[in-house]
Amino acid sequence: MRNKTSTFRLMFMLVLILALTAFPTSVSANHAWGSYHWARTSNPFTIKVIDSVTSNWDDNLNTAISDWNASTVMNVVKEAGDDSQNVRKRCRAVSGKAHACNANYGFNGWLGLATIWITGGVHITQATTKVNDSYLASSSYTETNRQHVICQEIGHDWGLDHQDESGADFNTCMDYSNALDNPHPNAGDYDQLLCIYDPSKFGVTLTHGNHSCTGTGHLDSFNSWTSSVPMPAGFANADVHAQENWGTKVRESANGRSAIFVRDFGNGNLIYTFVFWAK
Amino acid sequence: MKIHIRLALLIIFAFIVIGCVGNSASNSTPTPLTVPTEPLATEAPSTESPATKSPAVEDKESFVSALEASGATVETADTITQDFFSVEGQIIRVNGVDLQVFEYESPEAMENEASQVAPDGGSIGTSMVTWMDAPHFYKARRIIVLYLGDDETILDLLNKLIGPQFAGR
Repeated sequence: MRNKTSTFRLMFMLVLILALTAFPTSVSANHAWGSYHWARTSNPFTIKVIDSVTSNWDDNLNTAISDWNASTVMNVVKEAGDDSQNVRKRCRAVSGKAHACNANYGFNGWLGLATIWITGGVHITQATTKVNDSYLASSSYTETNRQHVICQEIGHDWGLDHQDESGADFNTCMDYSNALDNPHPNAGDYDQLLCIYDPSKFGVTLTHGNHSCTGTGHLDSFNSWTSSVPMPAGFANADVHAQENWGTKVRESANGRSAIFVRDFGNGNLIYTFVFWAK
Repeated sequence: MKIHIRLALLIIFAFIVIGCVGNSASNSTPTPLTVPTEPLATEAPSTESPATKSPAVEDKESFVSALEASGATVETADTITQDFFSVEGQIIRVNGVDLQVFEYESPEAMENEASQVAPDGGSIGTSMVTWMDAPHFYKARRIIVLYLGDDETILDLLNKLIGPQFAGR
């Protein structure tokens, strides 16, 4: 009888350990956006953020730039830009830089939108940040909300994802929640930038509060943050709507319904066009 | 005898725990833009439940018909352009709530675009979005439907007519 009780206790302990392993306390892991990063030959590297925001957003943009500039792997500096309505609405990407704009982009559901352009599969060559005044200019949104949004969108431009997908509050502008109540990055975000960009942290696990990441950083053979980055003419704004601009077909499905074309601009600059033919 | 029953229950519990671990291991990181190494699939595997999906919903028109047949008040509003989708959308107002409907030329084109949406709805391709409310993405044959909000009536209606969301919060 005693043996059976001991066996039961042993089994209970095993199950308890298994359960604790399965449901750890909430820890936000690596929040790199895929493997996307700015190519650079050394750290710190300098990213210019073109200021195409109106005066009522200037303080927000300045704060966001100051916040991200606190990272040890990058220098973030503001560059004066055109803030005419047409420029802000279009918010065209500029090679080697991030372009920040505000405008009434319409009631399309988004408060902020960050887009990055990729070369070589992983290297960011240009980025845009848009903040939508159609919503954010209304009294429904506070100054803190506005700061949260612009801080997050610019953070995406460095290759950061949301810090947590559960909606939990980790006190960072990189939270993925509706609260929009964290106007600044937190230590986990700076750790993540080290994990992405700092070769000395390669394989090293950095932990701060709830956040943890393991370094994957390496230096590259070129800088994608300089405007002289070898981006061939027509690459950044290539017109790929017409088939003659798609390049060479490199793959086709067995039934011919889908195919991949690649247009090679040289130096690793490739545009892939995935096509599914209409019947 | 009682101890054997307890042991059996514990073992069952252990299997349940292991099952939960397996299910929670999904990766929400979007895939970088690279050429797939596997042969192209012409039809992406459906995650929708055949038991709950209405076969009638194939495009915008049949979606509106299905909504009306369910007793909802449906109104066609403005068109909408999103930077991250290749087609122009249509706002459909259902019981006063806006849905964004994007219709494609073929199911393959729809699946191609849907595959760019991260499971949490936070990114589409190389665009990251801060939504004004919780995003819910649905798809049915040639359309993607985007609903922003947490109205249970609307969510139930979409689940009933289209099936479970394929991305979102």
